[in-house]
Amino acid sequence: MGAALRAGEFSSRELVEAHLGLAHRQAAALNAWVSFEDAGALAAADAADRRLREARAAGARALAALPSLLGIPVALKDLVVTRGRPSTAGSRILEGFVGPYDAHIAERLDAAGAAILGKTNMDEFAMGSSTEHSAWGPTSNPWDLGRVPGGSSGGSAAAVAAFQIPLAIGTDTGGSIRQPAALTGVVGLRPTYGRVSRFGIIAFASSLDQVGPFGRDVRDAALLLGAVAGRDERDSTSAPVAVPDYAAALGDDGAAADGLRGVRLGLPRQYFVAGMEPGVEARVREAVAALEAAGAEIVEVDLPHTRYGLATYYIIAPAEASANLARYDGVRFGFSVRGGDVLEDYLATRGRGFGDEVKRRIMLGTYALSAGYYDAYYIKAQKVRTLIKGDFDAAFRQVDALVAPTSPTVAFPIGARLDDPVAMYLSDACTLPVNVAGLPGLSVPCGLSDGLPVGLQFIGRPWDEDRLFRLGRGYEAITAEAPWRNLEPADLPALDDPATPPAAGRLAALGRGR
Amino acid sequence: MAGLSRDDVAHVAHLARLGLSEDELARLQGQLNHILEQYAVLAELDTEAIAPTAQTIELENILREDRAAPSLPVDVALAGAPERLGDHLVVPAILADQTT
Repeated sequence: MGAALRAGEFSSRELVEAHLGLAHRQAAALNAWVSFEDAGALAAADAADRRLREARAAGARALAALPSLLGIPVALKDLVVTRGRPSTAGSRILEGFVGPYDAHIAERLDAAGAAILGKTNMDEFAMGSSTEHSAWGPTSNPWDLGRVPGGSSGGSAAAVAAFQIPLAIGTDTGGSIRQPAALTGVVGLRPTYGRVSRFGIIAFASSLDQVGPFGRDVRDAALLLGAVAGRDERDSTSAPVAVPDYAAALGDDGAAADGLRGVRLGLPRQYFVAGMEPGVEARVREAVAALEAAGAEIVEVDLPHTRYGLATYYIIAPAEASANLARYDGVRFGFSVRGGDVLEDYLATRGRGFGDEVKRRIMLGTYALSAGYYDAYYIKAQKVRTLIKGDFDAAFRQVDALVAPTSPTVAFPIGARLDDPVAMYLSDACTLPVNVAGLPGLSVPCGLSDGLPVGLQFIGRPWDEDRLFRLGRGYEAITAEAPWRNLEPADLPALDDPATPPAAGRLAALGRGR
Repeated sequence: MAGLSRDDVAHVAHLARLGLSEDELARLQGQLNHILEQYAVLAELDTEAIAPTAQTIELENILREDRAAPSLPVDVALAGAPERLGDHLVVPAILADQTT
């Protein structure tokens, strides 16, 4: 796309208009977007077209010096704050909230020349694995509109899978980029904790949250991460670690496949969990066999504390969330209900403004941090966190990276797991230990099971995003001729059918409206 | 560990400043107890000698010069306020009857 823009095959305005047109036309059927920014996107496109024209007139050197994402449409998850634009984080409590400033990554995308088309749907405050916990209704999966796209960044994943946007930003606290990427058949990366500034990102769990890219292939995702990564003084947890040129290091198919030779990959025994679907396990094992055939050395490794990951995560994340979400009090911004006195204002605003899942997590976190339980739950979980991180440290003394399933199942039907929070939480069994340990993880599509996408996860040492991208690119190269690579999401025609019922009503149709 | 009673759930809801209906309290009591049972798995591990991890990338303190820089103008900061009086946010009185 970038090359075609530089060559003048089409303009950024044409590109942006085409994507906006498709996204608007299919908005109800997919429900991937919370808000659109047509005027801003078209202005960015026109500015990009002017720069492209000038650079073409000035010659090859000027063209090569243009920023990486010039004129390319990008979507932001609805928790990225932008000046003068709404961000709700999928919550009624932020209905009507207009950003007073730009998030660091929004500034970076602007500097890279991207055209922001709008904000994408998500589980409320990023709490969920299905995008059903959005105040604005569920997003559908383009492969089967009756199924979830995963979550919490399900709107970003579904929009990329449906060709409504080539690139999108998500956040990943326990799997919220990788799991929806897997369930919609796109590429998604959770970077190392500290790789991307979270200034202007609405917080969920501050020791776990990271911002990362979605793309339809590894090179696109690498380009987007390169545009937003790096130290920012306004986020004290963003690390002063040099950012390599991720995309430039990814070669053509031949070079990428060669790069797999001699790589030592660990296969964690504990990631083939109980409840894993046989079709998912089969696709992942085939992918591992393909990597081995391409010259990678596969070593079985143990991550013995994996089974404690879920409980550890579901203490730490709600505890941090209960503190972060204390700021939504109806006094300074957002939804506000008057109840009589200050206390009644709080109770009414928060009681009505938050949805069920958010209330559940605030309750869990408040309990885990309350007097008498702090040591038993929160400190205990932080100690087990040390053990989980130690497992990874030990594994990385033997191998260069790990290869594993992203999600134990394919996309599940809308409504199927809403009544059982523990079953929903199991969706992230293979992703959340990575967050607990602060590591980077990449999910790439590795085929279909029952006609639905399966994701392959590469997990790396801290700051090893470049290695993960090379592995993912290598896997793409050795499977470039696989028949499933040419398949488009099965329900794309239904998205264009005016008779398709709106996605936002799909829970209500099951008697599960909120 | 004994489960949470309905009163325990109501107490936590109060600490969290969440106004919940009777239905919600009842539902949460069941769900929270089910989730807390899952937490019990952690008790299998002896962590007496293990140090807790609060953050994973071992960043040391990051210092910077203490320079004044422009901050958000009052009008921008208050633009989203539900109720405003001049440069102030309006909230109900916190102390007893102040109207006289």
